[in-house]
Amino acid sequence: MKSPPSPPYLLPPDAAIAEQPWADMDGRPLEDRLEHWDPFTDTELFRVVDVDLDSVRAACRLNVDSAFALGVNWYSNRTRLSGSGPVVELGQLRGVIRAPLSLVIPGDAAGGRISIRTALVLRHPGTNATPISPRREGAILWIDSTSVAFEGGSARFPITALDFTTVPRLPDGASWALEWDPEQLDAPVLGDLRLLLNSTDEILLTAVRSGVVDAKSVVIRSFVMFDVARALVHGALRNDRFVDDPETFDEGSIGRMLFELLSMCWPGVPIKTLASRRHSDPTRLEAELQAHLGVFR
Amino acid sequence: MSVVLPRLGRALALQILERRRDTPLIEIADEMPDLDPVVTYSPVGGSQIGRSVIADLRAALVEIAREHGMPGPIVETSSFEAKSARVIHQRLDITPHEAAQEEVWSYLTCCWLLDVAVWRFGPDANADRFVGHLNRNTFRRMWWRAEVFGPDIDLALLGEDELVNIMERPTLFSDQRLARMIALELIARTARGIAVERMRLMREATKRLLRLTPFVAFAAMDDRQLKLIVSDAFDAAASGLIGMQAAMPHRATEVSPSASPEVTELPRLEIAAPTDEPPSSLVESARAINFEEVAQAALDIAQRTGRVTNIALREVVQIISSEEARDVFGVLVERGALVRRGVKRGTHYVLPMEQNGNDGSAPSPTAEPRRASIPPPRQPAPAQADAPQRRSTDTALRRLLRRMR
Repeated sequence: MKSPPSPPYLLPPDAAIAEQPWADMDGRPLEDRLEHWDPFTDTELFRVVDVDLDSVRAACRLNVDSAFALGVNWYSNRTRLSGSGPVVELGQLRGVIRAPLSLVIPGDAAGGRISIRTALVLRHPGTNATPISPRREGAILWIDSTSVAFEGGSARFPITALDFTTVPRLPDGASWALEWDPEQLDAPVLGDLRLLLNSTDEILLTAVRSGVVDAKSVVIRSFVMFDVARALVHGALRNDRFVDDPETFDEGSIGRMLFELLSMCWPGVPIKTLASRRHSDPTRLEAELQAHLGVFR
Repeated sequence: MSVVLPRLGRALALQILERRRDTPLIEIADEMPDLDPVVTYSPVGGSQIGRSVIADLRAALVEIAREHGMPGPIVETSSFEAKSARVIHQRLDITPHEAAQEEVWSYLTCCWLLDVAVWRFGPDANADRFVGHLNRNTFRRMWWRAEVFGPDIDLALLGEDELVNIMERPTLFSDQRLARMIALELIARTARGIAVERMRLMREATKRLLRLTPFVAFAAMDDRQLKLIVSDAFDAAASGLIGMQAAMPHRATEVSPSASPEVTELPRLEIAAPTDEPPSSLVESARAINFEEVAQAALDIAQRTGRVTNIALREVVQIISSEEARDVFGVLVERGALVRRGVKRGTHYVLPMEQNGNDGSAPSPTAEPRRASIPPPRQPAPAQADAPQRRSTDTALRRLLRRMR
């Protein structure tokens, strides 16, 4: 929707405003879905809008002393909260202007589908505004709406960042620890399995943050993923109940997740064969897991 | 760092509710907390909340409930609601994102505070009071009221209907500044004794503000302006209640603000347009500005690097948009000065074979570059006759870069 619904005042033509798409701070255009968003990450966006103020004034029958501003705000349908970016004043400038707009969407207040609205608003009607001109401060003259889904559709591994100095049983200098009980395979993945990250390890936190693509981060992420998968695989294959009947676990349980993990890494290979291989040829088992996960590649 | 709470699925919450709601209150209280149900947590987030924190919260809420009549009939409902809202908000260090999860509130209500909720709304109340319904859950609505109105507004001064008038209208409460100003306006009018029929006044005032939301950007107003418009809505509503018609005045600041420093005025130069059709808007005429120079810059980039992309051209000619760059490429392709390669994000343009070493590859960096030039339009535009002569030794690329310094 480009224009407000039936406003009781004159509007400028759409051609008077040319907006560039929203982009992140690296210049990547905003897509329909932020797959790697999480509620502890703020989203910073940027766009440029050009406005032909002479055309706006002419269409709205406003004098040259009328003033305008560009504003931007977001709304989350999950939290039902909204927020706004800095208002960019256009004042009484004339001709075609270019305005950079920025917006920070705080992760802790967002989620679900985010509507981002950019609006050209009247700041001051100036002198001699006609009765059908926009006259109220804040009157919306043009609006552009963009919608983006925060929270990707893909399943997520449960992760918690916490300061290891506050957890007596974990050494302060460790970077991560997988918290789970290989004997409790009926427990839900989202309840009883968790990768703990040491929040004092900034390099690790940056690396595991989804969407970070520098080479160092990719290597660290790859290694942590391998280490976690390795712990899960060995834990599963040590559990006799799991090895005897791996398909009995409910959807969402740790047992089901382990079965799916092993089936993905060793398609068609019976669980009992893998358990046997763990004893007879553990080197091969580890190498196969490495190969599947593509560690360091 | 904020914490995450256990989550209880809706089906399990309803099972607990059906099993317990008809038992005597004291028996429900004896069963609290119920730690048997299987719970989950957010896949990402802060530390899991400690059980002792929830136990302390329960103790505090039960104490408030007893002060207000539990297990007997409730007394001073507004006070109970307000105090409980503050306690829940202070003791649960959760983010709005976490507080927006239905299953979090189902867990707190059904596993820790079911006796308080049943006492507050009765055993026959709608199940939404006990599962985590966004507007109806006993404790979820309390937390959100404290969150939206902030610590400076005494919630006990607002009636249930008045709170609902804001909290069940996301258009109003999503903007916390607006929600707070509405609440403060009603409280101030009540204190001055001018809020006759305050419940109706609130309804009528919020209706008037809602009617403005499609046309007025409240977020773009400063505090003073927003306060004025809220006050105007209450004035108009008050007039309406006594049978007088009153329109909200069209407010505007007395002095219009000056332009922000980051706003730039785009230059207007009239050199040549790619077509002889008049521009349909001033933005379009700006697009036509310097067309030949931008086109020459595109050719220079292609000559020097072997290819030119939309982004590369905009990095050099920063005053044009993506669409304008595409227009320039379109004209150059039409004139035969460039050839389009690739699709979508891989789209790029190269010089035709005869201008680019006959093989379409990038020129050797050591070779003396031969300057590509713009062929004339197939149907020359009249404006070109007036184009100024360019210095043959100067490239358009250099001129543009110099102009931007």
